[in-house]
Amino acid sequence: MSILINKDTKVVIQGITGKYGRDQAQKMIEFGTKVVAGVSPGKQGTEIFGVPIYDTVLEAVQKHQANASIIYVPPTKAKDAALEAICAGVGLLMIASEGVPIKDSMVIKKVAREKGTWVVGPNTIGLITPGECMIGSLAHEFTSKGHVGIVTRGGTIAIELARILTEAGFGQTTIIGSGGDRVIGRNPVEYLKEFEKDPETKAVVLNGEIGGGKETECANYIPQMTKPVFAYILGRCAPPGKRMGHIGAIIGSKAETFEEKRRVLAEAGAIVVDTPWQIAEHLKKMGI
Amino acid sequence: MRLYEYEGKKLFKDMGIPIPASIKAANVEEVVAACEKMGFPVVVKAQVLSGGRGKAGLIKIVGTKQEAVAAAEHIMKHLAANELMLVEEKITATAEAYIGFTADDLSGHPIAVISRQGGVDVEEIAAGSGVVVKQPLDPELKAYKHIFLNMAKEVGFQGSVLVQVADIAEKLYEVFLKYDAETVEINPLLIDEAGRVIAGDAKVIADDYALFRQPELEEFRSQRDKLQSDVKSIFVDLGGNIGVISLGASMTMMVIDTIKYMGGEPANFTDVAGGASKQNLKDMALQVMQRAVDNSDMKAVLATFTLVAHPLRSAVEAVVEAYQEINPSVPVLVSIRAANAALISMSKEEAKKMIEDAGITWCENLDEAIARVVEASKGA
Repeated sequence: MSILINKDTKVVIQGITGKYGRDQAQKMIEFGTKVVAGVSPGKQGTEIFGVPIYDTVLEAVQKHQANASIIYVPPTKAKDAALEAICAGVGLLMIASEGVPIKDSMVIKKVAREKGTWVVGPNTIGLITPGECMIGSLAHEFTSKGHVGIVTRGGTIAIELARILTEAGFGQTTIIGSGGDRVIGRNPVEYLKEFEKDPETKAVVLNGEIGGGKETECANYIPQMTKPVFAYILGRCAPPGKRMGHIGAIIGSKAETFEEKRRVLAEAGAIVVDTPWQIAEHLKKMGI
Repeated sequence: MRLYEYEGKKLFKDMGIPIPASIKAANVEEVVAACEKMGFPVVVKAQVLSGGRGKAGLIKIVGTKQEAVAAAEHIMKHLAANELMLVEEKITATAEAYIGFTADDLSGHPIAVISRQGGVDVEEIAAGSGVVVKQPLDPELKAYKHIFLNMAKEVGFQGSVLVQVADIAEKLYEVFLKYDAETVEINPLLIDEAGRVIAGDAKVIADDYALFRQPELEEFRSQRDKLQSDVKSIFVDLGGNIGVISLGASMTMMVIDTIKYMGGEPANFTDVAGGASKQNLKDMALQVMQRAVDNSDMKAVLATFTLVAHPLRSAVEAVVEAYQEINPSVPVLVSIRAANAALISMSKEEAKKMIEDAGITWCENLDEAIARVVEASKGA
């Protein structure tokens, strides 16, 4: 078991004919993800790596019963691509594009909510269920099948956490980069809820950052969970008012600081760790 | 990108939001000339991007030429190159209120806030006190007037002031939408003796990601110093003695946080936005290593990457070339993990050899590398 994606997930790639989309398509296909179609308006009838190209997401979905899509288009075009996928009825949509205007993200989030589409990102590395399905650019060789769910804000930290846990002998159910932007499709708390429901997941790693209220929202839900949550917050060294790479990683009010986020998460019952290696040590002790 | 008050007020004025009469001034002489043109008393305001100007003495009411000179001289000391002052009509306010809009990071909705009390501590006013009202808005809906009337009424505005507050709220929201803002605020919103409602200040934070479709904001941006918001590469000085070269915002935060947790002092956070070329990586390595030469307090440098698709050879060569160009005297440690795609360009063994041949220390594991660089930073 896993959350959101598994071996039966059928994926459409929007922007498959661009250089980046093409490279990522190749990696996903090599991994074994069921990439059933690509979309590139005006190029229907051609193929890339044996994957048929369609003009519209709707046709790709109808012909192949695709239930997920990933967007590799420039951020200025992400809103159009996202709304097309949502209206074509895909259940899961991943927006890789970095630099999507916040107003566009707000509209995407609103329409997705109305249509029931689960949006990962924007500005995300993607998600992977080891051994089954990878949507995005995670390094699958650093992951392994197991019982730990991982949800992060950033992309590189998702890979690093999976790598460190894999090296220590702890496999994962699903790993998700939820997105580094201020407004994202689904907030980390919604992944916690999915992991709580998933019978294979026995523990969850929640990675957060300074800035915004997404970790506080998690802290409100964690008391209802039966599974242990390891909270790993980044930004110990972040000076107030400085943007630490991600557009959302900036401290405004007190609730957005490193100390305060760790405090509310600890109070909610999460195991707050200082380094990724401490997660492995805890898992060892707990025998998970 | 945060706008200066005078930039924000220009957007407000264009939208029809009442603002005080004002003149921009670049030096003491221009302040005096502006005062004489407008007639005393006036307010002299520093045009800086930090908050809390009032407390810092950067907003001064002046009634005479001498006071104007003293105020301008004081404020000038706090301005960066090319920053200005604003000489503004003095409004005698009988009340100060607040209107703001911000993109909520949880719901993804714009949130409207109207408060009967303005001032520095608006965030501290408790919900449910009847003074402040917040409401999420539909980002696609067009009819807002009734929403803002209801909100203004709920916090106790009446009569002509009620109508003006709702009207200004509607226009301010138009500014928020039109210019792709993350946040817009009028604080204080002044209500004068005659019952006129006027924007006393303008806080506009524009979305950097949307500048491509905002020619007017791009114009503001181009007028600024290069050292202001440059989204291409990010370098944050953390004041410590361990230089950090890394890739990916979250990975880099993890590295500097772990250095700090293990008792070391990271010197910097860096991130190359939008795809890392070899040249970008080399520039970053040059920057960090050059600091290690220029600043005698620097004790060590750690270069660490987890490469998924970026070629291992490119990362190794970037670090080695920068090292050879700068030749830093402090120890440099390298620790790299590489996925299959990154290894096509070069094997791990070749990478290790090239690093060690250049006189750089290779560490197999990241935790070991961090422990060693912290240790090195504490050596004599």
